[in-house]
Amino acid sequence: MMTKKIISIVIAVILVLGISTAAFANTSGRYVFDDASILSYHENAEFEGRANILYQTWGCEVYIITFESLMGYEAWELNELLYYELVSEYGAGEDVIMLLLAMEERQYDILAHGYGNTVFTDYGKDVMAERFLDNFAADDWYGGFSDYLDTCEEFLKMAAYGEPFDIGSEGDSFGSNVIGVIIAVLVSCVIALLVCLAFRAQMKTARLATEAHKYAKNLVLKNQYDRFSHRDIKRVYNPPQENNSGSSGGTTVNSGGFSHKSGGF
Amino acid sequence: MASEITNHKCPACTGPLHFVGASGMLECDYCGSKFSVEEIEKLYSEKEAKAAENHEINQAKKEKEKAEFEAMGMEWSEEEAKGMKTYSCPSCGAELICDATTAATSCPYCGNPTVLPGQFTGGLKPDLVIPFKLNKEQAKEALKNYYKGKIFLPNSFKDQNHIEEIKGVYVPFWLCDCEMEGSAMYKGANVRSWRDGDYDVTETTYFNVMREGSLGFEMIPVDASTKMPDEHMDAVEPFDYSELKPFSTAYLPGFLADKYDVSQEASMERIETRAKNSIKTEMRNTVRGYSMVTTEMENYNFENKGVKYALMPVWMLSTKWEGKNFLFAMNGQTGKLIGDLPVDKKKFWGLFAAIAAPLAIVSSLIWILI
Repeated sequence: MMTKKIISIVIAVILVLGISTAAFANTSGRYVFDDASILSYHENAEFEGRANILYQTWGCEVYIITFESLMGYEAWELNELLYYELVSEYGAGEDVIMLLLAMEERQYDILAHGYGNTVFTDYGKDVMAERFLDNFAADDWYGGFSDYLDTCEEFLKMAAYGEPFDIGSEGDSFGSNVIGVIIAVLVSCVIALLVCLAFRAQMKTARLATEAHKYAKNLVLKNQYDRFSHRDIKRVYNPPQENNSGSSGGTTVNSGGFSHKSGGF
Repeated sequence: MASEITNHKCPACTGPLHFVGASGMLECDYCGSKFSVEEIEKLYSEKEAKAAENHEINQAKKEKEKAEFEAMGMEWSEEEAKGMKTYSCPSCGAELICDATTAATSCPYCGNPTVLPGQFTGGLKPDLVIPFKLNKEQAKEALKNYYKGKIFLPNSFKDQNHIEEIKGVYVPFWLCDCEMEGSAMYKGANVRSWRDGDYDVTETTYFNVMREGSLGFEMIPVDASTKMPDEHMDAVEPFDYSELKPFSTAYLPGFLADKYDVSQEASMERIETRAKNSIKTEMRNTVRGYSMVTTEMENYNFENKGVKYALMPVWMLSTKWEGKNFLFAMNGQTGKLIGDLPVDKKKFWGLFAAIAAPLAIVSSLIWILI
């Protein structure tokens, strides 16, 4: 416990001193903490600018943090610690998403909190990781963070329109739309064909008669019965479907109110 | 050769008489005199009997001549070999060449309506007739109206399609009274579903259903002329039987008429098929109260209760367009007109696209946006 507290202090110091060279005078407006120094000055400035715009536009703080090492922590654990430091030291808000990269272990963690949990669902974080991992695996830090910010922007926009990115809203949504359009086109064609055939039927009126209803008297029933024969009962086991977050979407939040996506790159 | 033909002539001026559907009387084209069917029947019964008698004598004579010709190894005339018959017009003396079944026609030279009473003697005499009520002009007007609202009709059809021939024909029909009797077995089923714990339960209750009964039919019509297309004759039905009259040749002047050349027996198959289909439907309609019904067995017997021979009024309109013939038929009593029209494929697919495209766009947008 003591060790962790010390490390927290160290982290705080790193955050204050290590990034002191950054060009931002207003510390509350900082979103990029490149302790591992993998970004150039211009790249750093660009990402700060973009993160600022995202916050101004969508009200969610988007952080980029790089560390040399995890210092014995799990990636998610360190990221949570960093969150608390950002809150206390930089006045970070409740609604955040943070991408942490530990260069030595080549581990990453995406942390979401508050509104970030709504915007960045479990499935959304999976998709986000897929987009930037190929860049990070190739040591393309600029490309990876660009993808991260692009994805954040995309998901924030979708959430702002009331439909956070989740299962069924990307590929599935596209697929569903394609199927819907195909069905709509087919049904429209069938309706059009039926209307056309109805009009076409007016063109052909010379037909052989197949029935003689017009000349029939009343049907006389001499004998009739309706007798019970047998009864079939079929029972099909069909338990209620469990609410599986992996398949039904949403965000899994821990007791601290955080959601994570971690892994290697 | 004694005449086999009767010309119905005006007793006042000897002009030709025509039966006029609107008045139900025979009218003279020249002096405008009108005579009831009964009056003309009375006047002409003797002449027709004589004409019919002459017809039989001439027929016997021709048969004898034919046998003699054949015995001598000589060939029969081309017309007669084809089953054609020749008559002399009593008005102008011209030779009329008719089908073997022709019973009423008009002379192509003098235009006088002629009736061949010999075609209706003995068992060939129709029992009933429905007189024409509608005239040629009404038939033409009906054809014009028939084109209206036909959106796939080629634009040039109305302009370039001219009536080539229009003729009022008394078509021979068999009117069959019959009864279908029999039984049918069905399997009825009702399905009920509910949920029991983690199980979906479906209960299907089956019933054996039996129906036995009979269905009578009154005067199912079937045309008895090979010259008339069956599709056209079936489609101009129904005729209003309340206007059936006992047959008289006085209804024929001014129209064509044929005697039957399809026997009762040959027509029974069509009548039986129609009657059978009707009783099947009627029986099936009595099986109610089930969510599913399947027919397991049907057995029906047809009983012919009597056949009447009748002449029915039909206007036949023949047109030609782009080298193709189009035949229309109009019920001469009710005015129901039928016939197949050409379809403009461009118009067909144009309408298809005009409906399908906006519908597909709107429904796709609704799908995407909602």
